[in-house]
Parts: sequence; C-alpha cells; structure tokens
Amino acid sequence: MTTETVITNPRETATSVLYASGVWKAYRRGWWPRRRTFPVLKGSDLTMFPGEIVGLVGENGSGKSTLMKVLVGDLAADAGTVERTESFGYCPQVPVLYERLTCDEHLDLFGVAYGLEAGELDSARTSAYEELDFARFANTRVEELSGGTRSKLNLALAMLHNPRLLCLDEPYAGFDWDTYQRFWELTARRRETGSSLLIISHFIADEDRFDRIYDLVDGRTVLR
Amino acid sequence: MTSAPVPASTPEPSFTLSLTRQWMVEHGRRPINVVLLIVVPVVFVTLSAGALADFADILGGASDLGEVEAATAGWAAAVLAGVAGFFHVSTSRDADSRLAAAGAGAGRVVASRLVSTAALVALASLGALVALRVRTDLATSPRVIGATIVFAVIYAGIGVTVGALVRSEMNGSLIVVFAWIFDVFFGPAMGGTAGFIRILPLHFPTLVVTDVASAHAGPLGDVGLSLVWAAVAISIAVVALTATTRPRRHVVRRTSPGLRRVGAAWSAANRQLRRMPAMWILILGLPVAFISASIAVTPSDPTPVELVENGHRGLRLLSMADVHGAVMVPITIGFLASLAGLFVILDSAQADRRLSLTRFRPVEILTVRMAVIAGASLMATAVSIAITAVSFRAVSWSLFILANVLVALTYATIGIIVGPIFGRLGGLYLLLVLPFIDIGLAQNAMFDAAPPAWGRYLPGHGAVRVMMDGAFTPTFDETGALLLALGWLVVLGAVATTVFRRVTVS
Repeated sequence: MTTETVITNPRETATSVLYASGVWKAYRRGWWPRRRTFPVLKGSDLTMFPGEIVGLVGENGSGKSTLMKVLVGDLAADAGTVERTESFGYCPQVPVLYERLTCDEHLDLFGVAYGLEAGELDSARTSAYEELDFARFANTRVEELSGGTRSKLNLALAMLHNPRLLCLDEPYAGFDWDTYQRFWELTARRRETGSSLLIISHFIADEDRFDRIYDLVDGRTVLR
Repeated sequence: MTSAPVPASTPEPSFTLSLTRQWMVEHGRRPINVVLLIVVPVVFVTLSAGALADFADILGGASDLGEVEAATAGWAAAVLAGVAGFFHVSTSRDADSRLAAAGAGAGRVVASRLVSTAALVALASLGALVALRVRTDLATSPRVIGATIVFAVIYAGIGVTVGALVRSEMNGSLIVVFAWIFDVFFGPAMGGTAGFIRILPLHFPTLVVTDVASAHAGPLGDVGLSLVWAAVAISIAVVALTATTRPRRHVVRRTSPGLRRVGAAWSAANRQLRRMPAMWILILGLPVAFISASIAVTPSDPTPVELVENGHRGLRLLSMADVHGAVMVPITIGFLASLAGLFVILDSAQADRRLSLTRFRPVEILTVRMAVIAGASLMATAVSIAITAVSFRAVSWSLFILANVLVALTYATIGIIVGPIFGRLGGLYLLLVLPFIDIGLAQNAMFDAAPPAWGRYLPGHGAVRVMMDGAFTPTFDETGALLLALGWLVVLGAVATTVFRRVTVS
C-alpha cells in the first residue's frame, strides 16, 4: 500500500479542480486488547471539473463525510492522492461554529481568514445574508440561533470568498422549503460563474440537479 | 489694507476660550454632573469620614480622624474630577474630531477641552474643600488645599485619557471608578504600604495630605513625586486626546496578512471569553469565597514551616492564618487557571479546526488561544492576590506574584492538555482533584512543615516553594525550585502545543 499523499496545490496537467485517486482510510478505535480497525475508504477515486455540480451519495456510514474530510484536508488519508485548487470552501455536515460569536462576527473572522479586503468582505457579507435570507440574525450569537439559521451560517462561511470549489456535506439539513429552493438557486448561479460544487446528498429527488453522481459502495466510488 | 492670514494650526485664544465656554455650558446641562458635585463631597467628606477612619484603623492605616478627614476631601475631589473628565471627553469625542476636521484644528479643540477640564478640577476641589470646611478647619491648610487639587488633577488626567481611548461609556466609567476604589482602599491611609502599591497614582498625594513622610520618595520627596504624577497624568491625557481628536488621514494601512489574521482571531477569542459568564463568576467570586473565608476561619496559632533563609534550611514558627492566606492563593489560581484552559480549548476546538482549513496557520490559532487562556489565568491571579492583600502581607510581593503567575501558567497548560484527552466532564473532575492534591495537600505547609517526598514530583512543587520564600523570607533562596517550576512550564507547554495541534490540525 502506498503512503498517504495529500497535496494542496492544483495539478497543472489537468483542468480538474479536484482530483482524488486511490484514497484509503480506516479508523482505529479502542485500547489494547480491544483495539480494532474499521476500514471506511478502500481506494476511492473522484474528479471534478470547473462548472460542475457533482453528487456523492451512499448509505449511512458508507464513508461520504470521511471522503469529503479527506478531500478538503480535514482528515489525513492512510493512502492515496488528493490534488485540489487552493480556492475552496468546506461546509461540514454538523455546523461547526463558535457558540458565543454572532453571525456578523463569524463572517468577519472567516473573511479575514480567506484574505478578503474590507470592501470585499462587506460585499460578500451582504451577498451571503441576501442569498440565504438571514440578515436579521446578523447580531445574534450562535448559541441563540435555531438549527436552520445555524445551517445557513454554516453554509455562508463556506462560500463567503466565492471559491472555485465548494465541498458541501448535506448543507440543507434543517432548511425550510423556501431556503432549500434558494440553496439550489444559488448553486445554479455559482455553477454559471464557473464554480464547482461537490454535494453530499441523500435525496434521490435531487438527482436531476447534478451533472454527475458518485455512489460510495464498499469504500469505493462508483460513477452512476 | 489686508490683514495677514492666521495659520489654521495656531491656537487662537478667543476661539479657544469660546469653545471652552461652550464645553462648560454643555457640561452644566447634564443634571447628573451638578448632582454629583454636591452628593459626592457630602457623602465622602461630611457623612462618612468617621466610618472611613474606623475602617482605616482596622486595616492598620491612619488612626487619627483628622488625617483621614483630610484625605476624604482629596478622594472626593479625585472621583469627581475623574468621572467628570471622563464624560467631558467621551460623550463628545466624535463631535470634537469632526470639529477639528472642519477647520478648528486639533490643537485648539484639545486646548479648550483641557481648559474646561481645569475648570472642572477647580469645581471638584472646591466642592470637596467646602464639604471639609463644614466638618473641620483643616480645609484652610495650604497643604490640604494643594494636595486636594493634586488629587483632582491626577484623576482628571486619568478620566480624560480613558474618555479618549474607551468608546463604551459604561466600561470607561467603570475603569475610572475601579481605579479610584483600588487607589483609595489600597492606599497608605488604609495601611497599604507594600512595594507595588507605591505606584498607585494617589499614594504620594495621600501621604502628603495625611502629613506622613513616606521615607521612600527619594530626592524629589513626597510633594515632588505627587507633582510628577499630576504632570504625567495630564501629559498622557493630552497625547491621548490629541491622537483621537486629530482628523484621520485617509491612508490605507497595509497590515501583513498574518498579523491581520492574528488580530481578527484575537478579537474573536476575546469576545468568546467575555461571553462566558460562568467563567467570570468563578474568576471573580471564587477567590473572595475561598481566600477570605479561609483566612477568616483560621486561628493565628503558630505552625512550623520549613523555609530556606540565607542558604540555611530550617523550621520557623509562623501564624497559621498567614500560612493559610498565602497557600490559598496558588490553590485558587491553580484551580481557576486549569478550568480556563479546559473550557476555552473545548469550546473552540472544533471551530478552530475548521478555521485551520482556511489560510489560518495552526501556530496563529494556537498563539491566540494560548494568549487568551494566559490572560484569563492572569486575571484570576490578580484577583486572588488582591483579595489576599487585604489581610496578608508578603515579605517580597514581587516574588510572591511571580510564583503565583507560574502556578497560573502551569495549571492553564494542564487544562489545555486535559480537555481534549478527557473531555468536558472527565476533565472537570480531574481538574477539581489535581490542584487540590498537588497544591492543597502535598505542597500545603498547613498539613506538613515540608512537602512529602512524593509531592516533589508534582507540577506545583517548585512554584509553591518560590511562593513560600517570597511570602515569608526577605532574601531569595529557591533558585532550584524556580528552575524546576520553569522546567515544568516548558515541558507542559510543549505537550499542550502537541495536543492542540492534534485537535486542530489533521
């Protein structure tokens, strides 16, 4: 088995914004003598090109979130290659936020983290609030937000800097119907401007919204 | 015939005086200012001077009623001038800046603010001296009059500086009032003579007004150092006021991306910490409960304590109340600092991990988290030492403080390590027990004159030995213990860094 290789710069030889090949990952749980290994990914491959919306589907526990974490660099693979554009945004499945900061304070902090200048940040903030319709919670702390609004902020942080690649792990969990529709409208707008979106989804009904869909079966990706 | 144009930057006396008059009218139109001018001197000088004298006597300060009465006039003038100076500047800061930009010039606006502040100083001093005159004829003494004015000038300078720099009215006024409370109740009239208390602004003026020679004022004398304090306070106020009144140049400053990220993370981390009310209740409340109660219930019977003096290790008999007072400080600090480490890390670990996927470098996030935890730990240290200082006098305050800072940083790093490994509940239980076993039992001279053999291997051993040395002996003889404490800190710091990296970076 090859050693783990995660490269954070794009490969110039291809036009892909994301290229993963032969990704292996296993979790090790428990202490000796009950130490056990649970293999999750067994050589997954995935490629994305500019302007694509790609779905990643699979049963509960099939390793979708694990694969996405490996793709964005949140988790080290045991083996395999990942190449990815530097301009990417990641929306984790469970909103990962600072409980005591407000929405505005989150957007400010992540704006600086993405290297946005003050003017760009103002514009990005306004756009995020408008696209997901939660401006009225701008000064509300996360600990006081509903689950749906947390999900909106979670998504807004991923797309704040208008990245070339968006990796979204079930981003619409907790959205109401209107926000769900808004979400697909904004993905369409992003795609028109050349951005690519990798979305983990459970909904078969969403199938026609994707350009391609990967099924994750037995730790391997299968193009549908 | 044409007149020569006046340069805009040259202060024009008539315009400055006109502005000053406007400021005074504006100040007088706030009824609370007039009410304070009457109420504060009446309460401090006329009604409570006797009670304050009794309090000072209990604390070992001035026992003569006349001395305290004279000081009350200065205290009243100081708080009046400080609060008036603060609101005089803070409520009009943006308008002043706009006025300066409109052509009045920062120099003229600042000059007029200073003249009107001087008028407020005169009013505050006058009010305090009139109240003093009602009680006693001390108010006619040139020494008392002069010192009272110096009290007012110093606090007017502090008030103006805080008003120029702190945007929130509530926060700014609290800073001025708390500084004043600390200054008064830890001042020489209340028995405060320890080393670090001498740097308080009213230390020397209080000695002047109570007619007590300090014997530590150097060639300038108590009067000279009082005047130096007044000059420094006013100078800082002028610099701060000028900086905030001067029209901004429209220059875009380019901050390095790394500094900008650290600044943003620092700002966000501080907000998070401020919004942890339980932590603040613990930091402020626990020292009061732990330390004050421990000292109050401990008899002053002698107890043997092992100390090193001039290189000789031996037993000394010390008051149990003093030993308990000294030992309760690191126990409290160890507990609070470890909790600060635990909760700050656990509260932010997942989101920090997400942040590390952006352009943030792990070292930037780690620096900010460590700094915030260190800040909270040092706050707990300051509160604990302040509470102890009410009834306990360390022989060497600087060494006592250094040792407790070491305890704070050591246990804060332990909290950082324990949190991610044991989780919130497990970590909390462990951190309830560990400081208690280490500092509360093993290093506690109340139980044993010298620590048991196993206690020497615990992280608090070196720092507590240094603390005992500073608390009870005039010379420093615990170099080995200090190095041991620093060694623990370096090792734990390295482990904490590794744990933090594992939590926030894949």
